[in-house]
Amino acid sequence: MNRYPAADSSHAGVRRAGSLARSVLGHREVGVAVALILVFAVFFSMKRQFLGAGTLGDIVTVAAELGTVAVGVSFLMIAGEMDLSVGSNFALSGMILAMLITRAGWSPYLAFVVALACSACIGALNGAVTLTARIPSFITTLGAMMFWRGVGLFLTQGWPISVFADVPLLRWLGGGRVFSTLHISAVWWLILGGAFWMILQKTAYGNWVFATGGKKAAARALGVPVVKVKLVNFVLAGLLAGLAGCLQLGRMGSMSPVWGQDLPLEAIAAAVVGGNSLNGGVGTILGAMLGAVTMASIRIGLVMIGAPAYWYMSFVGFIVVAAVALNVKLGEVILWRR
Amino acid sequence: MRRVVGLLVIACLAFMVGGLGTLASAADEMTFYVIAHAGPGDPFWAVVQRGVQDAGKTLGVRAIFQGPAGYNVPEQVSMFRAAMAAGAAGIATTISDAKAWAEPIREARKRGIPVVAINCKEPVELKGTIPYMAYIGMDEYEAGKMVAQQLLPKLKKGARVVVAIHQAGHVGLEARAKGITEVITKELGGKVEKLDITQDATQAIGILRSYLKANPDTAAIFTLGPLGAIPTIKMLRDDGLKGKVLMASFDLDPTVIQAIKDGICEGTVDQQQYVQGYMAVVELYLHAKFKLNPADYDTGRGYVIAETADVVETLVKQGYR
Repeated sequence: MNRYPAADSSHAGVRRAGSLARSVLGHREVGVAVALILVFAVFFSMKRQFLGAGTLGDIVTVAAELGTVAVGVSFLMIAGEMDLSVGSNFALSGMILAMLITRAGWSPYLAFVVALACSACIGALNGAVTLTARIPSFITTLGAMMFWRGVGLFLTQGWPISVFADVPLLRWLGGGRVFSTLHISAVWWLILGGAFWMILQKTAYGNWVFATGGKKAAARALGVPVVKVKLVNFVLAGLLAGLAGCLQLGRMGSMSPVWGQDLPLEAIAAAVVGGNSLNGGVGTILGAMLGAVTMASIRIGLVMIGAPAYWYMSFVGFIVVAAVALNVKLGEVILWRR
Repeated sequence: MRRVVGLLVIACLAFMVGGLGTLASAADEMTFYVIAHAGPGDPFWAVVQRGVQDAGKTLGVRAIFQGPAGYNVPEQVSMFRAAMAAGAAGIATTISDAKAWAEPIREARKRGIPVVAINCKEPVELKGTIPYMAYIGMDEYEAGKMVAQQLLPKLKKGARVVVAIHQAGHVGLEARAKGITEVITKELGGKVEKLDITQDATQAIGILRSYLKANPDTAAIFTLGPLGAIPTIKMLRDDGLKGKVLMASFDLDPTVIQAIKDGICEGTVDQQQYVQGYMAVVELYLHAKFKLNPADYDTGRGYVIAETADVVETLVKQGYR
């Protein structure tokens, strides 16, 4: 007869609870999830309207454009590279779409394809220069950021381009609403995020991306086409930045050559808050998306409680460091317990 | 070391939560928002903010000034929407982009939130397409024409003129530039070039200096606000160009006033932005309290020259003009 049946079952229970805790804490999204819950709790406690349908719709709509860029930037960061030109690419693509519709009289659908193609080409150029000249992508895309911003200013002579006509494509991209204040751009973002999550987590290409950003020599030895993977990810980062520009044009009806200047750093911040490593090889798409929602929540929450606008920077700065520190700490705890 | 880091984190948190706490305590008062396309980092908007805060104090209501760090209309629209969601009793905003503002203002009005426009409005050809209740500010394009006309008697036919823009793409500044360009080209047959000098003073000086080196026949520089005027004045002073290259500008700040007194700057347009912030809150308050309809308010198109500089200097230093 077993003398200690209760003690055994309680040990098993503790083990089960421990493994459950490890499996939850093992997710890199935990840091950003905790940050997001904290942000929501603080703003809700101060302003009850913060959790209203209208506010949540606004938050997700704002997060959609930043989040679309952040998904592309995360994908590239996991492969060990960086793109600082996403903000200029974002503005340029929106302007190309607006100009082709209003000034050249093109079909909006064709203009949309051309705008996206231009963005993908900018991404491809970033990749080609970085990989052939073997210079850090930080430098290549820093140059690209300035170059394409200048091109945008030259094309429009500084003026924003507005599309005043009712263009169904723009309504479909971001102008239309699906519920309360939630714009359709948020739906595209969620679908896109889901697709990129699937690619990263469930396909061989996803494994290649992780391997490319991790140990490059080992990845090469395993037959991973490192250069091709990086190039494709540069193209995807450019493409998504361009798509985000088109989504914003859809929502606002205008695009200025100077918009999206903070976008590269905000997208990187969203990715890092979401558990993506600046060194590559590690990261998650879901985390980056939650990072974008966190940043949009801070932006809107601070206005709602009447805080000075500049607190946004301080809050984001604090959240970036806190979420990353939490992720590192959790990583250590899990390793130690194993 | 860990203790020091821990203490710093706690201090940061305490500062943030403490700050938020003072905001929360006043959360149920009647709240008015004034939302601009840039924030009080620009001396111009610091004066508007002061007008907003003074009106709030005088009327005993909560008056909040908000604006993104740099010129950013999508961020400004997000702030406007957040103010709507927060249940604002009235909102004033700058019409920084005619297309982008049409829908949010329409929605606010549909939800019964009064909206007035300040500082800049939609172009003439789109007049009436955005349902704000009143406009409090000056006409940028007309002001551009006015400042150019002030300098006409001192310029020769066919003169080369530079318009130094510090926020390329900003609708109001572009309209000022357009007004200047039209007058100089039509009246003088002059050559006008628009130069993006950025908001960075060091870069601005470098850009202007190299332009003047390449084009020594430049007769005048128009700057479109203090962020453009301050580096331009420094360059004209350092390079001894007083009297050789004329300068005129928009808006007041202590450096510009001093330059006018010193004869480096011919004059500057005063749009009395304190009134824009102050009257926006007053008109919104009167509407919320007594259903009095807001009315257009021309904040003036004064032109400050050497003879009038002393009068306004004290007020500029105090942050009212």
